[in-house]
Amino acid sequence: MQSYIARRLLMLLPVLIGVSLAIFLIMRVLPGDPALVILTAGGQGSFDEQALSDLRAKLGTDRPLHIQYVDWIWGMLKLDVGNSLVTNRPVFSDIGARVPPTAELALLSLIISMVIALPIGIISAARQDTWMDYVFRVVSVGGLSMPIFWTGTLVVLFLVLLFRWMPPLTYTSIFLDPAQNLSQFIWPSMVMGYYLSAVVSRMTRSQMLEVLRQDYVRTAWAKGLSERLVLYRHALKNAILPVITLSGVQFGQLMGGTVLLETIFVLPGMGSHLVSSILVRDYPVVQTIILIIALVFVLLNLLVDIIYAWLDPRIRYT
Amino acid sequence: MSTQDAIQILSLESVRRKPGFLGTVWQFSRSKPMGAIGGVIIIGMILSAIFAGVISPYDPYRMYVSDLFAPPGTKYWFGTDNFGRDIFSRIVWGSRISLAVGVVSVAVGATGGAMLGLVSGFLGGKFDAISQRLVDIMMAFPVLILALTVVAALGPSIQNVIIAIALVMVPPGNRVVRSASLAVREMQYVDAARAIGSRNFRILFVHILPNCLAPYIIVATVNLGWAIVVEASLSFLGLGTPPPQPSWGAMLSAEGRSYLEKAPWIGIFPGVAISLAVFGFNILGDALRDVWDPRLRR
Repeated sequence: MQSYIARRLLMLLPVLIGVSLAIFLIMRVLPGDPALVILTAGGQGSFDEQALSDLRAKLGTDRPLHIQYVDWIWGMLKLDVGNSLVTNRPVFSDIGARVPPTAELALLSLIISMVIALPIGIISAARQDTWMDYVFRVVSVGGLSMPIFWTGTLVVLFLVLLFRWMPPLTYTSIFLDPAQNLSQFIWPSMVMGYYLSAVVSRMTRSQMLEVLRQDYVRTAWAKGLSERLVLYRHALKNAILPVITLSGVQFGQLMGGTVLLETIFVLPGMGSHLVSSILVRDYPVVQTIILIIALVFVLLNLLVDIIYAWLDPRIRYT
Repeated sequence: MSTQDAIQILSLESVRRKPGFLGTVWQFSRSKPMGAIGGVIIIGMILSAIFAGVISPYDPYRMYVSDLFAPPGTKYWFGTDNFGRDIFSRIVWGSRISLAVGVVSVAVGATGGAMLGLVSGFLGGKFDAISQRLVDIMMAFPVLILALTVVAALGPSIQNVIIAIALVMVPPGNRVVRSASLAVREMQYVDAARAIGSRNFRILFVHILPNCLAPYIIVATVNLGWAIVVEASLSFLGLGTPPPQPSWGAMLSAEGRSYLEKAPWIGIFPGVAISLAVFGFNILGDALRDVWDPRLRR
């Protein structure tokens, strides 16, 4: 197992280098001259030469590309990539403060989605083609089709009309005031959890259906085991592996979802910080947040693979 | 078997002709009613995009200042927004933007990825290794974040949104077609083609390509729905289709949302349009997958 993990970590290195290079190229090379883009606000507006060269020096874009890249990566490793162009505070201290809300939103929605998705998937499969199955399937296809920013909007609308509830404007840490914090996070987490559960319950259902047709399940029925034992001990254990992989990947995709939900529910997380930084063209902040998100996404996928290999020893030796 | 029997069988064969296009569609609708519903939704969307000018009762940009926040009714079916623009007309015209962005970005991105996958699955070796590492890098980003990155660098405009979404569409097209191409490469008819002296180019396009089409069409259909969601998400964040163009996502963005209490219809109808479109592409894609390639079923 250790050698498998070591091998996977080693394979990670080229991907991470590639990812950081890609972000660097997209953010620094694609727009031409970032300093010019910032000054002219994307094509319109005038500027003077002095301001342009000052900004270039401040951004460090007057140096050769490879030096800029190495400098940026070195800064990432030291957790110091300079200051934000807008707030003038260190980029990392601004980002650090925004990690807890995003992490809480993501974890809470993962928990909610599992609590909804697994029972639904199992019941749907065990009662295939009954009215329960149809209802659950319609609910899950619906969840897949509704974009989360719209579901979020509908939830806000519902809360506003019924309870005169508005998203609180200030963020309360869960350690200071759990009740206040939960009242702020429960709605966006439910929106995201619903979306995630739609994907996961579909997968659980189709996996369970496949496993339930296996010989050993028939044997389990034949020897008179209770439905509970057959479903949970024999079927679910074998059906759950692909579900774990898919949940991990989807959970990673939700890093994109947090961008939308933090914007709707006014949560001061990484996602809303990313969007507001993009809108004001705060390049150092934007490229750092994107690299962090990609890093988390890649590590998450690795974690899923390791869990998979731990649960299923066959994977380790291929 | 008598000669009589043989003649009977032969005549039966000739009676059982291959169904034409309409026949195939009819058979598909009979066996996959959900898929047919998806198809009808998509056709409706295409018609509304083509005939937007005929269908929409008002000019989507025209502000009826005396009718700000008019509720849905006989005059304005879906109500008006904070500028007094007719929401129904904007949704009809918005289908043109959603569909155009979706179709172009999938045509460029997914097809490009698929062509790369076709060649790299067939050739294998170094070409395959390098192209797969490139795709790995693209897949190291959550979809929306990759699109956001590109738009952040290039600035919001329809053209840049298409570029961003096309990029996001490369990996799924690539992976599916590559694995199909890998499988087809090992088929006996490819060996046979090689034995009669066909060149790689001919084998690739005459023998392998047609057999990778089904998985490609399935992926393209499902991803069209995805592309529409990504476009709407970007526009929703104010980083996609710039105002005042009628994009479904933009209609739900901050501006519309700040009037939710006063005029909930601003936040409802565009979302219904997006969900319906995505639902259509999803269930059509699912049905196509069931019919063509049950193994791909998730």
